Amino acid sequence: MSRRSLDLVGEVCPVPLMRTSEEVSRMAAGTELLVETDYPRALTNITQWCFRHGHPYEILDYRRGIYRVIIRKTP
Amino acid sequence: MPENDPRRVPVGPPGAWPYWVGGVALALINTLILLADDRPWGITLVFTLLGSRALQSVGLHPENWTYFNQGGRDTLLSQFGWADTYLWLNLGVVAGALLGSLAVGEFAIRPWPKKWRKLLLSLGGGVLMGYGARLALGCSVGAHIGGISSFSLHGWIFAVMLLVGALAGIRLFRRIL
Amino acid sequence: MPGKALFALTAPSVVLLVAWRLWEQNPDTAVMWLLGIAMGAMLQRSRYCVAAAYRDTVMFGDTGLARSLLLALAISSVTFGVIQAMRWPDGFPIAAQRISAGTLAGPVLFGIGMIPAGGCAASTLLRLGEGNLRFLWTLAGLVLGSLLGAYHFGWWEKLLGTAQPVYLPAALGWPGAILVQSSLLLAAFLVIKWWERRGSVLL
Repeated sequence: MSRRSLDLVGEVCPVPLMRTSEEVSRMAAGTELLVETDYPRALTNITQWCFRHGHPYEILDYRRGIYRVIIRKTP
Repeated sequence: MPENDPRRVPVGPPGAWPYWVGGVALALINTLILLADDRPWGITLVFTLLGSRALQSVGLHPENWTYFNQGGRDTLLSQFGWADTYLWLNLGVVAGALLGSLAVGEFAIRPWPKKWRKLLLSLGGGVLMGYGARLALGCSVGAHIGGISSFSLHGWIFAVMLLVGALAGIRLFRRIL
Repeated sequence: MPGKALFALTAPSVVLLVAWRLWEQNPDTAVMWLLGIAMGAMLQRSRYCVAAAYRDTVMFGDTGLARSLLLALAISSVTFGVIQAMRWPDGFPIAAQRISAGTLAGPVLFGIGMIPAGGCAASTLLRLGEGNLRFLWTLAGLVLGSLLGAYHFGWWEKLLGTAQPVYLPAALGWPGAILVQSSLLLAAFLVIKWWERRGSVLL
């Protein structure tokens, strides 16, 4: 299972969700994507989007203002 | 790994509240503001007044502009002082957000990005918003929410034209965001 | 947890201290400070953003914020309506004294600007409260833009002339106004639902 990562620290809406959804759409099924963002709103957007499109995700520990989410693309 | 109940739409990071809570709070607190100050929440007026005061302090005279001399705005600038109600309302909003995020560990000093392109996007976006809000005599909160809530047609006009602007903005900036 | 306890003790104290100092200047200001605190905290916790209500709906078909904006408008229409009917039967002294070309062009510019800025004016305040310093630049832009807009205001008024603002209850009576307002809110709600079902997004 391969893992890609997306560093979105410093980005503001709508960039985090835009880039994340583009990346997930492009990925092969089964790939994992690690997203890093420091924008709290982005986390809400991204997790809701994943939920609506059926991609399981997990929010990792929140450290020093940076959120990390792992998304697994599921077809 | 996945969320448990499929019917529960996640709200994101732990401690976040659903959007409808914000909607209700916005309406109720805005009502209290109306009761307290005889006008609903507005933000951009404070920026105009602060900026105008700054201009006055370097010897310029914004009080002579047309904007400040009609529409009931004659005494706005001269009466703007440190105890201005709108000023402290909006300072309170910042403080409230600070406390709210601090309470759940979401607060963190997030320095701005180094790329000047991004800073320019923020600055330019701000200029457009400030300019547009002054022409419309209000922003997304004052003219839009306040206007619609007070049964004034200009609130609905704002909403429709805001949508037009948002569509145009998305088209214009999609590539360079 | 000592951190939380410390916060629980100091935060209200600071807030009330400021309120007390303001009360001496002007009691209304103290009240507004407290209302602002409440507003900022509630909106920050629920991730509110008017810009996102429009932008996320259009770009991602994500309508949660748009719906809750409609909810807010519906509720405040009722509350504002009641207050206005009792206090200002002849018309609420709203900001837009006169409608002009600026009333039409202003929101368009605002809408364009909120896309690169990543939020609206309220969001700028909220993000600054969260510690996001990038919005200091947005704030600077807002101040500059406001000044420029005030400077040009007269020109925009002359462009197409001005008209009296339309206050629905004055124009249509309260029953008519309520009917129009509800219809518009309902129409907006239906448009949002339709857009959501349509699925495709303007990405």
